[in-house]
Amino acid sequence: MSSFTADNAGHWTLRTAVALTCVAVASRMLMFGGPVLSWLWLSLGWSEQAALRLEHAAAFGLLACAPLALWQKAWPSLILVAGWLLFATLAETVIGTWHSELTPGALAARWLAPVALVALTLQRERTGEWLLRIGIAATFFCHGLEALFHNPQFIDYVIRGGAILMGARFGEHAVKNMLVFIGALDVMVAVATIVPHRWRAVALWMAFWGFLTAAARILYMGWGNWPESLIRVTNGAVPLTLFFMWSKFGVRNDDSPEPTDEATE
Amino acid sequence: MKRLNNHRVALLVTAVLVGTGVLVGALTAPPGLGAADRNPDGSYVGTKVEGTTPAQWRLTWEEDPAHAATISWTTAVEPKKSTLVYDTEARRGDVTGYRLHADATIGQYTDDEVHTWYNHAELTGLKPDTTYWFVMVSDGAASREFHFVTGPEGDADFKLLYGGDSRSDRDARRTMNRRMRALLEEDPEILALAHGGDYVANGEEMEDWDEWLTDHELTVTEDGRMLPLIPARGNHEASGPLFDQIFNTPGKKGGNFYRTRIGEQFLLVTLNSNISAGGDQADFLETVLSDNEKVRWQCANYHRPAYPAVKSPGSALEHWVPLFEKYNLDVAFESDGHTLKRTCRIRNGKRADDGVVYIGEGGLGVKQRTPKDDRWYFNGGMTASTLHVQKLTITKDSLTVESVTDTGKVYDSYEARPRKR
Ligand SMILES: [Fe+2]
Repeated sequence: MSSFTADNAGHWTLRTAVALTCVAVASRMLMFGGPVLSWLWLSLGWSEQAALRLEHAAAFGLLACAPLALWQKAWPSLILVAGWLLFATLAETVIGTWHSELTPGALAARWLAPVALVALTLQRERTGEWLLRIGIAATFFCHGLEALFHNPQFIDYVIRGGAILMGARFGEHAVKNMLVFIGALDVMVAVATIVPHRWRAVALWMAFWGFLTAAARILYMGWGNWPESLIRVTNGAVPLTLFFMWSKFGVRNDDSPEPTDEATE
Repeated sequence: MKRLNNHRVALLVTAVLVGTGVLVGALTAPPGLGAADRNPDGSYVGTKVEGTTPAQWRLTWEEDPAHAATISWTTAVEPKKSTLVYDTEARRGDVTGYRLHADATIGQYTDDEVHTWYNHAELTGLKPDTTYWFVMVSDGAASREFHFVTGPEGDADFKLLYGGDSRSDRDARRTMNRRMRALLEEDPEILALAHGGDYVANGEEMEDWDEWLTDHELTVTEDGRMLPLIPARGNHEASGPLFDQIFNTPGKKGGNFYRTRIGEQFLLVTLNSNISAGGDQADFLETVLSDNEKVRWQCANYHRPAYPAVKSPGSALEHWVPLFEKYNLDVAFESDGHTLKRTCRIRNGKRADDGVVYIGEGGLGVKQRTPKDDRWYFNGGMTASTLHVQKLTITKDSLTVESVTDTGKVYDSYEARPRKR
C-alpha cells in the first residue's frame, strides 16, 4: 500500500469513501433489508429465503471488499463492488415509488465511485476524473430536481433541521420556497462540474453540501440511522477527490497535460 | 516478475476474502418465514365491467360517518346519468321503490390503457346507527340491492377492522377479503375497515386497481352488506390521481389526511406518509388532537411506520410520535412492513406503561416478510410472519385489538384501558 501524501490525497479520499460505502450498504442490508430483496421476492417471485440468502451473501461480500478497497493491488474487488451497487440501484429504481426514474442518476456518485477508482488505480487519471465529474454531476442534478419537485423527505429534513439548529418552526410553504432555491443551486453546480473548466471552489462547495446532507440523516433520525448517512459518503467524498485532484494539477482548465498517477508503485 | 507475483497474491487474497464473505453470508442468512402463496384461486372473476352495469363497488367514510358516506362504482362506458337510490327499508332492488336518491358525479379514471369510468354518489344528512339499503343505477342498468350501517352517535360500543398492504399477491388478497367478509358475517357490530395503504403494487396503473376493485367485491356479505372503507394513502399509491378517483378524495386533494369521529368517544386520525410529515400535516395533527383531547379513545392510521418491524423508521417518528405522546394516543396503526407486529407501550423512545402502542404492518394480501424481532420495542410486544387483519372492539371500559390471521385464528390480542383525560 502506498502511503498518504498531499499528492495522492484525492485517491485516498476516494478509496476511503468506497470502503465506507461497502460497510454502509452491507449494514443497511443486514439491519433493514435492501431493495434487491424486495425486488426479487415481491416482484420477481423468488422465495424469501433465496432473496434473503443473496442479500446476506452480498452484504458479507461487501464487508470483505471494504478493506480490499484500501489496497490498490486488489482493484478487481472494486468491480464486484460497482456491480452490486449498480444492481441495487436498478432494484431501487424498479421498486421505488417517488420519482424513481431519478434514482440511477441520484445514486450515480455512489455506483460510479468504485469504477472511477479502478481507472485511477490503473493510471487512467483522465478517465477517472471524468467518471467522478459525471457521477457527482448526475447526483447533484437529480437531487436538485427532487428538491424542485418538493421531495417530502427534504421538506421534513429542513423543518427538523430548523427546529434542532435554530429552534425555529418553518412552515411548509416557506420550506418549499427554500427547496426551490436549493434545487436550483444543485442543478447549477451540477452543470458547472461537467463544463470543460475545473472550478475548485465548486468542488469544495459540493463536498461541503454532500457531507452536510449526508450527516443530516443522523441529525434527523439519530445515531441508529448511521448507515443512511454513511451510505451517502460519496456525495461529499467524490467532489472532495476532484478538489484534491484539481489542486494537484495546479491548472484551471481541462487542456492541461495528462497527469501521471504518482500513487502507484 | 515480482510485480506479477504481487498482483497474483492480491487477486488470490481478493478471491479468498470475498468468496469467504459471500459463503458466510449465504450460510448465515436468517430463515425466510414468509407465508407462501395460499389458496391458488383463478376462478373468481367478480362482476364484469361492461356497458353501464355498475361494478367494483365500494363505500368510503371520511369525517362524519354518522351522517355522510360516498358510494362509488365503476362503469365500462360513460353513463349519461348515474344515481344511487336508497332507503332505510329494504326494497328488494325495485328501483322505483326507494324514497331517496343521490346523483353521482362521473369521470374517467386517469390511465393509458384502461378507459373505465368512476361514479361517486355522495350521501349526506343520513341518520346515525341506521341501516341504509341501496341500488346503484347507471343509465337504467342497476346493481343488486346492498346495505350498510351508518356510524353511531353518542357513547356507543362498536367494532372496526384495520389492515394494510393488499398488494402484489392476488390470491392472498382474495383470501383476506373472504376472511373480512366472514368476520363481518359472524359479527355485525363491525362497522368499517380502516385501510393503511398500499392497496396495489402500482397505484398509478388502473390495471392494478381494476383487479383490486374486483377483488374488493369479495368483502360484501352474502346478504349484501357493504364494508365502509376509511382509506389512507400508501407509498405505492404515490401521488397519482387514481387514489382520489377511487375513494372520492378523502381529506383534501394533495393531502389525504383527515379525522374521523365514530360516536362521541372514538377518534381516528388518518395521515399521509407520502407527503411532508412535519409541515402542514403536523399542524393539522396537533390541532385535531388538542381539539379532541377529552375523547376517550384516540387512534391514528398511516402507512410508513415510526416503529417498523422490518425496515427503517419513516418521518412519523420525528414529527408525529411526539404529538401522539403529548396527547396520549392509544394506538397508532402502521403498515408497509408486510409482517405482523405489536410494539410495547412506548414513550420518549423507551418502554413505558403510559406509552403509545404501534400495531399492524400490513397483511391484507402481500407476501409476509421475516420480522426483525430483536428490536427493543418488541420486548413486551410481538411479531410474526402471517397474513392478518386487526379487529378492534371499542367499549366504554376497553379498547381491544385482536390480530386475526387468514385462517381466522386470533394470533395476538392487546387491551387498552381508558386513560385519564
Ligand atoms: Fe408500503
